[in-house]
Amino acid sequence: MKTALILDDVADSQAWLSQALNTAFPGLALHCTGSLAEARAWLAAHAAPDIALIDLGLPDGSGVELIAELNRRAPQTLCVVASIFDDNEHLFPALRAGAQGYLLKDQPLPQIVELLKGIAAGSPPLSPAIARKLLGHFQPAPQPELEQLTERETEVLRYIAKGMTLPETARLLGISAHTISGYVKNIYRKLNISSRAEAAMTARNLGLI
Amino acid sequence: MNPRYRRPTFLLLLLWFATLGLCAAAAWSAMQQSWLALRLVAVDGKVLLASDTQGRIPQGAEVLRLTGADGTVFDLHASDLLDNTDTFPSYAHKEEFFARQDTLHAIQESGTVHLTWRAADGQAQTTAITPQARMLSSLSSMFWFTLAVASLCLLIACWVFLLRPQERDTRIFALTGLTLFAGCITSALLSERALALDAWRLELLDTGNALAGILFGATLVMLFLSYPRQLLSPARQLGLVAFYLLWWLLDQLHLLPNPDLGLMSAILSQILLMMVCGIVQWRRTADAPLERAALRWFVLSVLLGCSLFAFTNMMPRLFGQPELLIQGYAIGFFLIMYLGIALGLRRYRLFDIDEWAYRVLLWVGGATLVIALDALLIVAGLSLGVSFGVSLLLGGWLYFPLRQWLWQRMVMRHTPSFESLLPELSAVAFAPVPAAQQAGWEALLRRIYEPLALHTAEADEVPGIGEDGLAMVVPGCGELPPLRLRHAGHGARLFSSRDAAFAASLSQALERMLGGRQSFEAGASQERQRIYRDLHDDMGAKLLGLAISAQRANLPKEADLARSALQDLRDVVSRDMHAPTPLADLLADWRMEAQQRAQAAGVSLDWRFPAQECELLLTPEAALNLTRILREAISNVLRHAQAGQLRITTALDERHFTLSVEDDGIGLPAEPAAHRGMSSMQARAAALGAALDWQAVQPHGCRVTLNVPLAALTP
Repeated sequence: MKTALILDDVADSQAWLSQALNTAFPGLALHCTGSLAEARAWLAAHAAPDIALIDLGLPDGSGVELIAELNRRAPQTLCVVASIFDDNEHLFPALRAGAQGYLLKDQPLPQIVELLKGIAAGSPPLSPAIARKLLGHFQPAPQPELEQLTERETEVLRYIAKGMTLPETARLLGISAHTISGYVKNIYRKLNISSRAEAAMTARNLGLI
Repeated sequence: MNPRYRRPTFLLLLLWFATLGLCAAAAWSAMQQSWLALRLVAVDGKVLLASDTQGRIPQGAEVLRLTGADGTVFDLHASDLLDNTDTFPSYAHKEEFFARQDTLHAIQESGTVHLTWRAADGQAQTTAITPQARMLSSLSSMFWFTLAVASLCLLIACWVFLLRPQERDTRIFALTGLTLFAGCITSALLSERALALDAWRLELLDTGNALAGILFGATLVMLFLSYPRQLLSPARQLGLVAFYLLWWLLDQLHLLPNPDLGLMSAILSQILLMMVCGIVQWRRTADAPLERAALRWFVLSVLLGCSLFAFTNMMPRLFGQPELLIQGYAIGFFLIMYLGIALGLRRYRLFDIDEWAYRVLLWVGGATLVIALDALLIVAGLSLGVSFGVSLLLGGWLYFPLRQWLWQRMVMRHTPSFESLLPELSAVAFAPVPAAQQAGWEALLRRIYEPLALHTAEADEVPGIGEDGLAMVVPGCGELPPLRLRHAGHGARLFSSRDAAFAASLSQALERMLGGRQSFEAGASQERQRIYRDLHDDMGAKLLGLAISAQRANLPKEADLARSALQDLRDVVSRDMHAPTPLADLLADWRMEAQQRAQAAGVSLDWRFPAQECELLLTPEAALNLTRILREAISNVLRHAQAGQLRITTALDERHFTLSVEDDGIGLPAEPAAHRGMSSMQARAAALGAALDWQAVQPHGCRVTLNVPLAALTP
């Protein structure tokens, strides 16, 4: 991790997130922006950052837009949602747009730091509510051409949805903590892929492509 | 055909009265004969007098001969009293019996008869007797018994047939009832003859009885060949019937070696055939356990009835033994067969008939009861000689109201008014989930129209009356699909255009209510969105600022307070306040939150889920209250208890949900109830009708237990 972008319209939050990033990845060059326009301008002039913490409710739009743009133009950038709301209505669009993790800004600093390190190391967080939403999203297999979850991945989601922690789920499935993180990451990836494929299909159906 | 006559209940009632009419005709026919008013019995080859209704001849006297008015002398033999006409050693014997009956009949009808008899002391005497017309009361109880059994069997057979008139197997079943009825009536008339019948009537009854008997067996065999699986093509089954008809014809033309090879052998062969078919059916249904259970019941009923009849009556006679039970009573065993099938209809869905079939029978029973009461009144009025005025008074004041009440209870229907249905209609509209709306709507329609069947209709079906009033399609409303109702009033009536108009206005009213509910919900949702935006943008940012500055100032308790306030905010703005929440989801979310908070506070968490799977759905209010109580309990531990370990146990039994939060901290404050967090927990627990209590834990620590009745949690 060398460079970071923070998109948040509250100064307090910017400072708080900066502190967390600096603690997690010492020596990081970070830049704070307060609106989508500002962030886009900065991105146009600079190389894409390694990590971006993005708030969702911004004065000139939703952070989801920037996540989608970054995901298209700089897929190597790690997009993390930093919000005070973690319900499905807020998070799911962001995850579908390609966010690889999320954090609640009011969490204690050590936890945020821990989370950031985890996301950077390839083990994104997964709450029971998100797991349920994911199960619902993949379960009915609406379009066969979309990528489906493997049985193992579905199993992981089921345990998480029931309130098991990731280490417990790993133990129940007889797999390592590393492997289970891989599964979760893959589930996020498939969610993003499926939403892109859906978008493409919708566009095709509308005669846009 | 006019659809009114296609109603099963109406038709069954019609058939039932036709049956009773036939029975009355049979009784009338039995009375069209002069008789001597004597009862004779055959004992050890002698003819003895069982009773003389007028006391002219002593009981037990041996009756020797009759002398007609024209001087014809007739020596009475025990064989003249034969009950049945189907057991003779040879056709010559049978012809002789018929000839003697004719002579005897002529003597009885000729005028005053001289009866020569011998009392126990051996002295022969002669008494002159004038034959008289038979009275209804002179008919034996066996005669009535046979008629009653035959009528009930026919009623059951017709009932099954009318419920499914299009099926081949129920048609055959109806034929068994008809042939049995014909057989019973002829047999009853034969054995009820007053000593003798003239040749042509005897011939007619005997031929008819043999035909009915052989056809009864043949149709039963056909039934076994068709139900539940078809073993033989219908054409071949008819061939079998033709074979038995030929058998009957040969017997009637006296072309068989002897009468034993006639009717009785044919019937025994039919019973054997049924057994064979039963075995084949059993093997064919090996892969269908339900069909097999039905078959078992069906075979058991039929074979039990037939075999008991054969063993107690036919077999002994065929082998020249005295019958164990005379035919008139042995016929009662067939009732076992039909009752067995009737009872099996529901349990085993014999002939694919459902529970509602019994309602049809109940209806016919109710109508019969009313008419029987009418008849009773007439008979009682006549025989008691009650004065006209008194009868009128009794009738007007007591009987007619009673009859009206009975008729309405059993037969008439009650049409509820539109206003009286409004509360129920609104209950349907405001049911919490679509499934409950659908169930409520169907229950309401069932209650109003009492249909025998109710199904979801196809989307393209036109609402209104269909099948000439047998069915009605109620239009769908909102998310509710159109429904197809069949056979109004338990099959007792047709749907009218008034019914259709009423149902349509009910459906419209429901649609409006549903629409009203929807716009109310949309309004509520908009309002929620507005409040939500305010909270989201303003409150959220402020609480976050508070949480961040408290952390920076190293005030973990205050930071936790700000965080739990923010968590409460999240609950309020993000939870769907209308959808029921599955308890399992709630437990998962709680655990996640507790885990994160315990970890942040450096406390270890021991979380226990309920032992069993829980599929409970909680109201949003209950979910929120429980969440807040748990959060507050955890906050108390993390803020005040100085605990190292937190144990949260959730448990579920049939009536309660229990939540307990236990710590190993410093224990309860001196006055727990005074604490603000605790009092808000108490208030929330009270809202749930739950018991909340604090207990000290040994060696140190505290346990909060919440015990909520499930009824307070579910919608």
